[in-house]
Amino acid sequence: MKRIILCCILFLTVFCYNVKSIYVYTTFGRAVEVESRSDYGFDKEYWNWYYQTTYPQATYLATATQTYNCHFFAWHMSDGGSGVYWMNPGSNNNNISKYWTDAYYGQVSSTNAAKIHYYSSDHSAIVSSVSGMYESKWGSMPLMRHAPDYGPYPNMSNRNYYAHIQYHGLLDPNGYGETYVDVTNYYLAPYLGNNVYGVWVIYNAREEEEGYTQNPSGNMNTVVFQTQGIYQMYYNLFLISTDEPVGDQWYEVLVEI
Amino acid sequence: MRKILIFFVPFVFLCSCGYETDLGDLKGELDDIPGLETNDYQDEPYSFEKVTDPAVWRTFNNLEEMLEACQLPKELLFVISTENLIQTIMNHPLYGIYAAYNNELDGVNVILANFNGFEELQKREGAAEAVIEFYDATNVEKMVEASKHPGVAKDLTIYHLDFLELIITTKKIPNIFSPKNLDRLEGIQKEKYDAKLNHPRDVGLFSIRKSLLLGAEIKITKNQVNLKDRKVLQEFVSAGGQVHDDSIYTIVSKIINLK
Repeated sequence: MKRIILCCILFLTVFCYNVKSIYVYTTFGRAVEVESRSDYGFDKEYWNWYYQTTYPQATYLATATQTYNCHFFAWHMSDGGSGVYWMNPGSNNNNISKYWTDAYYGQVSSTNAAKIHYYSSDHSAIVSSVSGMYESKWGSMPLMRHAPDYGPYPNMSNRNYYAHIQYHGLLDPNGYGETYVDVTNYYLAPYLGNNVYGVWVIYNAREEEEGYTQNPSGNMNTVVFQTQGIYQMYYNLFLISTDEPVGDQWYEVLVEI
Repeated sequence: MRKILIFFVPFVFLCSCGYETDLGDLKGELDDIPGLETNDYQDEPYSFEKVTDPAVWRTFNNLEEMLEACQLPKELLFVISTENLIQTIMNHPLYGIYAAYNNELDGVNVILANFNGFEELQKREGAAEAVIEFYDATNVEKMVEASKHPGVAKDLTIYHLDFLELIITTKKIPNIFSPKNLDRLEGIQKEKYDAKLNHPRDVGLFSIRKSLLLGAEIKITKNQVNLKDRKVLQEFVSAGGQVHDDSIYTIVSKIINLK
C-alpha cells in the first residue's frame, strides 16, 4: 500500500500536468499528434557524458532531454515550429508521414535533401550546414551532428530523402472524368490541410479558359461544359499564411456531345 | 577429530571431481583445436578496455562496426562462468543505446540480437536463476551514487539496472518467467521499484518506468489481472513503457502492486 501511495504522490503531483494529447501542424496544416514530457529526475549530465564518450565521431550540439525527440526536431522544430514536444511515428509512420505524404515536403534524391527519414531505424534527421553531415536528436539523448551512417541505430544506410517541392496531386473527378456537354459536373480537391487554399482553373485543348462555366466553392467545383473536347482542370494551391504557391491538383476531363 | 575427517574426505573428493577439473579437461581439449587458445582467458568478466580505447573506438564508423568489435572472443565463451558472463553483458560499452530509441525495448533488442555474449547466456543452464540472483544483488543506493559521477568509477549505475530490467522484460532469457522463478522475480522487482521511488529526484520517471515495465510483464505472465487491466499492461509493455499520458504510470503501478 505504501508503494502505491508513494507512486501516486510522485506521479500525480510531479507529472500530472502533462496528461493531454497535443497537436502541432505541418506546413499544409495537417494535425500531428505530439506529447508533452517532463525532464523531472532525468540525469542529463550522465547521458551527455555517455553519448559524447560513446560516439566520438559525432559533435555534441545540445543537451539530452526527454522533452523532444528526433522526429519533432527534424520535422517541426528545425522549421521554426513552436513548442517542445515528443513526436512518435505512429503505426506505419502514419503520424510523421503527414510531413511528406501529399505535403509540403516530397521525396527527392540525396543530393537535394533537406530532411532524412531512416526508415529501418525509426529516426529522422536534417541536413547540416556542415558539408556531408546530418543533425539529429537521438531519442531522449543529445542533439548531435554526425555522418549519415553514424549513430546508435542499426541499418542507418536505409534512408529516404525529402525537401520542399511543388506538390502535384490528382483531383477527385467524382465520376465525371468522362462527361457530356450541358451536364452539371461536381469535382473535388482532396483535403491537404487547413493551411492550404486553392484556385480553380480550367483550360481547353487550346489552353484557353473557355468552353465551360464553373461555380467554385472551396475545394469543390461545379462545372458545366458547353463544348466537347479535352479539358485540363487545375486546383492551384497556396499557403494561407503566406500566399506562397505550393503546387496543384489536376485532372484531365473528356467532354463528349 | 573423526568428525573433521568425515567432513574433510568427502569435501576433497567432491572438489577433485568439480568444476575446475572439468574445465581443465575442456581447456585441454580445446587447446588441441588449431587456432583456439583458451589459456589466454580466465573466468572473469571480460574487459572491453582494448576495444574502447579512444584511439580504437574512434575508428568505428557505424553501429554495426561497434557491435562487431564488442563480440567476445570465442575462446572466452568456453571458460567464462555464467555469473561473469552476466557481469560482462552489463559492462557492454553500448548498453546505453536503449535510451536513444523511441521504444527502449527496441534498443535493448538491438544489443541482445548482436552480442555473442548474450547468445551464450541464452544457452547456459541456470541462466535465468543466475540473472535473478544478479538482479537481487544489485544495490540501488550504490548505483544511484555511481550515476552521479559518470566516468569516474567503473561501478554499475542505475542505468545499468534499467538495462537489466529491460533485458529481463524482453523475455529472451529462457525460463526466467517460468512459474518457478516468477514469484522471486516479482519480489525483487518490487524491492527495486521501492528503492527507486526513494530517490525520485535522482532516478526520475526515466528509471522508475523500467521497473514498472518489468512489473507489468510479470503481471501479464502471471495472468492474475482482469481483462481490462491486462489490456492496459499489454499496451504499456508494447510501448516500451513510454506512454503519452503520465497518469498511465499510476494506473500501471496500482495494477502491479495490488495483491
